[in-house]
Amino acid sequence: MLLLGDVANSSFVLRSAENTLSLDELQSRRSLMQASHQKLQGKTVAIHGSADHFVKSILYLDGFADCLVLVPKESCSQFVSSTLNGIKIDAVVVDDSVDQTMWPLALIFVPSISHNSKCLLPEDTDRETQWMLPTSGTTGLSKYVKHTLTSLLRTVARSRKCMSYRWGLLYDPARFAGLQVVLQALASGASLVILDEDTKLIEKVSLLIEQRVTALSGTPTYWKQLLMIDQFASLNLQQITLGGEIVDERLINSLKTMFSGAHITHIYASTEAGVGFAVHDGKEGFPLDWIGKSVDGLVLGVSSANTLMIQSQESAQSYAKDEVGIFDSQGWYDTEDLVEVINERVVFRGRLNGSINVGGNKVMPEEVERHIEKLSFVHKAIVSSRKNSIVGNLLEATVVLTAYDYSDEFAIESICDHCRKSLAVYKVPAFVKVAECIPISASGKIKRG
Amino acid sequence: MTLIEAIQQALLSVAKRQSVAMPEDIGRDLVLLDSGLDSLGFAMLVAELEADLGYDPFSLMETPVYPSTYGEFVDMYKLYWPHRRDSI
Repeated sequence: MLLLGDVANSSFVLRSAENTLSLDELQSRRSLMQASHQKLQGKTVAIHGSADHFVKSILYLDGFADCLVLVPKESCSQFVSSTLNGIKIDAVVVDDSVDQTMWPLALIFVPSISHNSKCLLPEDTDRETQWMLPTSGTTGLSKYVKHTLTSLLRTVARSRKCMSYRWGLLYDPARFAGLQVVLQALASGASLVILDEDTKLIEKVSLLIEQRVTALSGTPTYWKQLLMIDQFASLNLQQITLGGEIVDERLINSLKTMFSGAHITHIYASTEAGVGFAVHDGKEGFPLDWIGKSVDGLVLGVSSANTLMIQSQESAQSYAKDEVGIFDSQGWYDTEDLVEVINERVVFRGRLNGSINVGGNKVMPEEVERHIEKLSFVHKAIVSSRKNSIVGNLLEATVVLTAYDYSDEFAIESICDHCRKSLAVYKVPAFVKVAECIPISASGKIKRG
Repeated sequence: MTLIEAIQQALLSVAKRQSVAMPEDIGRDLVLLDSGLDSLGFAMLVAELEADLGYDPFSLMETPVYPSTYGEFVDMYKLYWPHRRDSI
């Protein structure tokens, strides 16, 4: 049985605006929290709130609750009613940053726990906790996948050098990439600096400098934004990790130029399967000779549809709702990420199902098309990607209007307003153009870009 | 229209679409990430200028440099001006 408390390295330190806590201090708070919230023992507990609350809660509840359901910070009531629908949650542990009205369940606040509190610990507290993480969804819709701590820790590096790192947490820790940073810091005994999510990026950089952060993980889009900030160059970064989007070698070169002493890693991870591997050679893609070999405990392959296949004998992840296994009986998982071999490298080319990655967020064009077509003056909408050097891709909508007497300008303005009102910001088309008809390919299919 | 006018026009157009209130005086010292545009807004600005001018300096640079201020942003477009579409 693997417990987070046992895996955590004793030199771990959690730093936030509120406090700086050693692992020892966190462990004693864990005991007090468990003693005062015994009703959570053996239950399915959702964790929702600030990053600081989140990191403490996973430490307090792993090995105590039966299952932890990680809820992204930005989740709204619709997320609770749709994505979490069907998952039986017994309690939700929140802090005061959460909008209480979005949860139809009784909430449990975890207030600051005093060192002087004295409670009797329940007996037989340790149990293997299951973790449920939301994916960004290969279909663009978020789904929950069941993991174990063993599978989540597979890509965590624990060398002596890692212990000296001071990680800054830029991601939401309730998402796979953010959780990997938290687990990396915990297991390697590094420090973890939590930043206030609502702080502007320029101020976040000042805090990273003030806290002498030496290791960061982010999407290529996030790194490009950081490179736009003058003071960012004054950080003494030793570890740079990129993931979540296709990594462009030119960005790696920009980072190498600014941080010549840093070790640069780009991670390929399937949040769905809870597996990934790291590339350290500073080039995009990965070496062709990795195909068919074991890399970070995985075997890589390419399907007949030119998608990356991953084989793992240890992985037993399944979707939370229907218990459908993610790996087939031979341990293979089709990532549906399209690959191409160029100059002895396997490079990524996008998604087989046509989803578009906008700055690290997956968008299914059909979802945006259906949304635009709700407008009475739109006959047909097609959403495609337009390559972009800053966020990888931007959305472009091509619309055919009905016979109504609307000017193109008015129609475009109304479509943008309609999308902005009810879609996430990255799903709003950056460009809308009016066409006479929708382009159709020779085979009669709609052409998306 | 001059290059500077084209950039300013594109900036104001993207800001309007993103419902961002730009400062009245868009000077060289304006810090881009302080202007209210987020990464998506900045990406839209670069795409809009590529459509207008026919080039994107960030795609042309071998080792891209990302501008901190509006002045640096304009300088990058000036530097790569020879790559503009002939019809401009």
